[in-house]
Amino acid sequence: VGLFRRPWVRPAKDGFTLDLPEGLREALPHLGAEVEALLGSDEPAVRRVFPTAYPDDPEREAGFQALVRGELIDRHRAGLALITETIDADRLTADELATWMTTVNAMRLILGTVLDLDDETEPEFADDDPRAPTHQFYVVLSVLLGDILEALEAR
Amino acid sequence: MTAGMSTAPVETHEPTTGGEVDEDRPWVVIVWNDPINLMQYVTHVFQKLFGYSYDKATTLMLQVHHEGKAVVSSGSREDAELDVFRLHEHGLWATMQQD
Repeated sequence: VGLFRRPWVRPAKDGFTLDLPEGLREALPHLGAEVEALLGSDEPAVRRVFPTAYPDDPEREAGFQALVRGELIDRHRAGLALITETIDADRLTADELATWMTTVNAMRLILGTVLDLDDETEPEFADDDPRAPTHQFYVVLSVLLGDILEALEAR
Repeated sequence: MTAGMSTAPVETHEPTTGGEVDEDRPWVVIVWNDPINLMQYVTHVFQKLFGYSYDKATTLMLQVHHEGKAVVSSGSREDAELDVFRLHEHGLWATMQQD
């Protein structure tokens, strides 16, 4: 139920309507809490969320990171908090949906990194593969992000 | 980048050249291909952050996808750092170097 009642996000007269399946409304805040814990860490899972600006200039890179890393973490934390706060909302403003978009994308990046998705073929995981649930979640986030983009672009 | 469920890929890394730096030369912001970001998302972000038309944003996205990277903006070092930050905030793999 719900997976097939799409899109999950639709443009409305005043903002956007949100109509997520119940399973996703339960799972997303849990994933958010895990991501929140990872954000301040040096775990490999978050490397794609914090790319390098100056790959060949360690001095400038250090300066850049000192300047922006904290801000970037704060913005992702605020995005995760917004998702948790509005997970049961039936309506989002354009600004809120834009924050959902970047935050859902950050979650996809982290799951994709954990799954080591770095080659041309879309991997398939057997049902008994311990990575299968993570991959299912990754695919659902891709669907959600696609619906968010369609809704934003319909305006 | 990935088009929905199908992925495309190849992480390339091309070191910039070191050496003398002329502060007057503009800085360029480069977005690199990555195997996770959706093509539609990348196009959307280019439009949102830089005000590019759909056509220009799509052209840049396809350049990233097919050639491994594209220059998406240029300017002073401060401007480039701000653009890199905003691209990082949106999860895109952006770096900067002097042209």
